[in-house]
Amino acid sequence: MSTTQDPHRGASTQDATALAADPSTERSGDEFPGAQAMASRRRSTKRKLVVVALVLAGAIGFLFYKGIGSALNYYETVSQAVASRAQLGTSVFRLEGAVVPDSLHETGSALSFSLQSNGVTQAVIDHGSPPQLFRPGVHVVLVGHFQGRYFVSNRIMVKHSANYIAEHPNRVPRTSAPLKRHP
Amino acid sequence: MIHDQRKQSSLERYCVALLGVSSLIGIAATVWLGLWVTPPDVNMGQLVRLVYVHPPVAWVAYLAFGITALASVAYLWKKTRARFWDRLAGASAEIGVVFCALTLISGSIWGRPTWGVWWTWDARLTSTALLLVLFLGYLALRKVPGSFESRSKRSSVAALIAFLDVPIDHFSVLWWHTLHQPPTVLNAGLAPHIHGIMAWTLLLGFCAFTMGFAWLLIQRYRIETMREELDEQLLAASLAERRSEASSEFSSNEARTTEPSPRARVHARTARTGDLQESQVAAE
Repeated sequence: MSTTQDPHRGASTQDATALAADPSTERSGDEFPGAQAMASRRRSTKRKLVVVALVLAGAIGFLFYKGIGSALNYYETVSQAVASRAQLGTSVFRLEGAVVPDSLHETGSALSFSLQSNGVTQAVIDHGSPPQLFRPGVHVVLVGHFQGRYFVSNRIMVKHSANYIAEHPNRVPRTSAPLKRHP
Repeated sequence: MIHDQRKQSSLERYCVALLGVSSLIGIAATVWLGLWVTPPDVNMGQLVRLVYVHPPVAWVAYLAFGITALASVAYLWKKTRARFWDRLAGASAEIGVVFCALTLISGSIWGRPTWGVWWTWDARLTSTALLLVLFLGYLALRKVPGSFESRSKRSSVAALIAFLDVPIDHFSVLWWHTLHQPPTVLNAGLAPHIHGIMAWTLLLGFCAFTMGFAWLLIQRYRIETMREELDEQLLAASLAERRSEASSEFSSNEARTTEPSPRARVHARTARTGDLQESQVAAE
């Protein structure tokens, strides 16, 4: 249909329609500045979406890698660890149990005590610094490994209960009035 | 009618102000009771005092994300689709993210002296961190440019996906072995394991922080509405400006095309003289 060679000079209406319908034809930015700006905006939106998705996927992946793997089986109780001692070998894991009263001994920089759960007891030697709430009877989570007949740990974490009980519930409240002295 | 509307808006403003003041008084009373009136705990001693802040803050984070999820459902459902739900979801998520971060910070501060560590990768802490990241992603998604509807639909779906982590976070202490203690108030028997005045102080903390959240949500929603209105005004102004520019360009072009160019004038003159010459030759 096109009779002229140069589409921009002296082209007929049919030529112009054919040119507009042809997707392969490149149009300069001066011809359709609005359309080009819109396309570039769409491209930048897509790019931003991809960046957001990548950052999110990375963060979630990191959390899964770091957390969920170990979080779902955060610790072994003393009874579980003793039962699967052969499989655990000397690998580092977290051990949970209650500190047996009257088992605490301090020897140099180390602390030795026994840990108990479900009637099973395990001797422990700790080289870390125990937290403020560490005391006999409290539940703890230790990080360490089996070594001979001991569980050697380097970190104690206290696992406190969800019960909150007043220290002295029956104590008479202090009054500001001075005490009366009897003659 | 206008008078009624003004009266209503001033009443609304009064109620919102009252809510804000009540929440401030409530938080101040919680701090006073928590620090000076309540007794120390039999196990934790003075370290128990963060219990009046940490669980209420975590509750507000859950509540905020819950409202975001509900508002997102309302937006996605065609029958209830309205801008209101999208704005509410965004506003609530922003506050939720702040409270979720506060939960992690207060928990870490509490964890150091009680557990002995600032942070550990147990199921509760990990799922809370994941919740924060998911809703930060949701907020980032809301900022990605696009048409209002596609952006809102996209972010509503993202909010529902992110909200799936809330029940996981709450039940993680019951489903798996964690260092974090199980729930004190929302436990299986719904019997709070906390003594007299300590329980009342905790309850006051929950109420005060919830009121604070409601006040913040109203304010954030208002700001979002004003921002959208401003955007629309700016868009209308720039469109009007562009239109006036285009019309002035058009009129100047038209003036240029009606007035013949010097070259055209020369062409016309030569053509006219050529015609004259041709007519003279024909006459001869």
